[in-house]
Amino acid sequence: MMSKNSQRLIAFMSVLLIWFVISIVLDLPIIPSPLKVFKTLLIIFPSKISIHCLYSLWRILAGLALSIVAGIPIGLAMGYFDGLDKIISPFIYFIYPVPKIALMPIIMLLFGLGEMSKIIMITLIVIFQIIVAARDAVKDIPKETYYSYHSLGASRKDIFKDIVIPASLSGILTSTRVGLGTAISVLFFTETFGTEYGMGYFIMDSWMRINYLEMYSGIIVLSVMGFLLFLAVDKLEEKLCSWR
Amino acid sequence: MIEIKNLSVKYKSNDKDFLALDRINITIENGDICAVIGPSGCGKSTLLYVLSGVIKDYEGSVLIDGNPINPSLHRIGLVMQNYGLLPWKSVYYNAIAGSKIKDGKDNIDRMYVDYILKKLGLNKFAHRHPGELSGGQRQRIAIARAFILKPSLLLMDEPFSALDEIIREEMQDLFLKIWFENRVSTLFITHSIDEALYIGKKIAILSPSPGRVKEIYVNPLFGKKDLRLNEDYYKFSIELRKKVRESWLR
Repeated sequence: MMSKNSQRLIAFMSVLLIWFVISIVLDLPIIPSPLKVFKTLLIIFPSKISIHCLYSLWRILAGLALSIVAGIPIGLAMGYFDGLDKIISPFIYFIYPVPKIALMPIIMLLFGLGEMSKIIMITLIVIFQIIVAARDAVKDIPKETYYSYHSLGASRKDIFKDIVIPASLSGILTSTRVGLGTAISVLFFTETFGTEYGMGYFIMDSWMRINYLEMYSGIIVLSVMGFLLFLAVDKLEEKLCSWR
Repeated sequence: MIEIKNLSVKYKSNDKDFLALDRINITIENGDICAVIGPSGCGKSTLLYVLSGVIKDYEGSVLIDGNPINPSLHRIGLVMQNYGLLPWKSVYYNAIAGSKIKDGKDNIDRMYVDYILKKLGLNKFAHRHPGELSGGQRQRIAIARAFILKPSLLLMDEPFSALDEIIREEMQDLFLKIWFENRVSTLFITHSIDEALYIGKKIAILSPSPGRVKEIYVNPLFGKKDLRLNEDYYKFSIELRKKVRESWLR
């Protein structure tokens, strides 16, 4: 059996190889050779891309953090208290399918063109996934799990600390991972407006300048960023949910 | 002393009342084991949930030393059929969970914890998770948790039924050994006549639904050594079987 890492490496190399072959066969400026792109990337990353990368990273992390900090308590409470779930669920189901990205003009009018509106946009989209995942995870806990704690006269604090939170952690992290992919797409979109920083801006700007090598460098940086964040959530799950 | 007086429990389903338990009377003296034996669906588990404070809606009274049962006041150890462990916590954490909630983290009798874990052969697994262990080992965690709590009432719901026969006999012996050291008032539910005879001092025979106490049989063999090798064991087993059959097949 190959290790997970060597499998990933093989997948990565295969994608590069396919890209390389296509660039040779088509021989178009819009599909440059990966070798040239990586060369450009190495040269411009420290001077040009890193600042954009940091901006994007900050927006994603802030958006995710906000979604987690607000979403998990709401979701856990909805899962545990049936009454609360009955009140809030209809709202969630109504708002969930609305394409939040379409609300961007409104968000920008309300919160301006700056950082705030971008972070709120990401939060708006990711938070619902986290709320629903947290709620469902709590609902999935078998009733019997609570019985021994009820028979001990355990406080609600003990029940949340020992049962509700650890039992739902895995589901929450899975939805965070799914949310991460969405968050990066949203980030790209929001960064094409009202900013001169961020990977979205960098990629679109390179495109406008018909500098395809830089554009591809930007796409690679954004992808690697997503991959590393993905990996971080994976590691976190491994560490926190080692019992699985 | 545990006194169950005229205990009735009704469930509401489709606007109709379903009577699960009908005027149950059982008394458990301090330091006694009472087995409750009944057919499937007779309300055995309902009885246990009332005693453990999970079901609060009932008629009649359940008293521990004269006070109505209250999980916040009394120390109730519960060993369930599926063990009721926390799979995300270590074996050690599971074992001390009861005492931790009742006494606070700093007041756990760690010496006693180590003693019980060792006695039950769990000390080697203390830092593993329950999911990595076998059914018999998980069962032992649940029993450890109940004893470490030093309960005033120990409740067990078919605690040995999920185990293989040989492991089951071993666990029953191990349980009795620890029980005799501690003498906790115990009520345990079973559908096995042999188990009731092997562990119970009193054996309450319940009727099919709605559960009523048909007879309380005082086990003359209780506390005898090497019971399974005792000739009388089979004599009384046959006698008990007869009584149970009469109560269930009517």
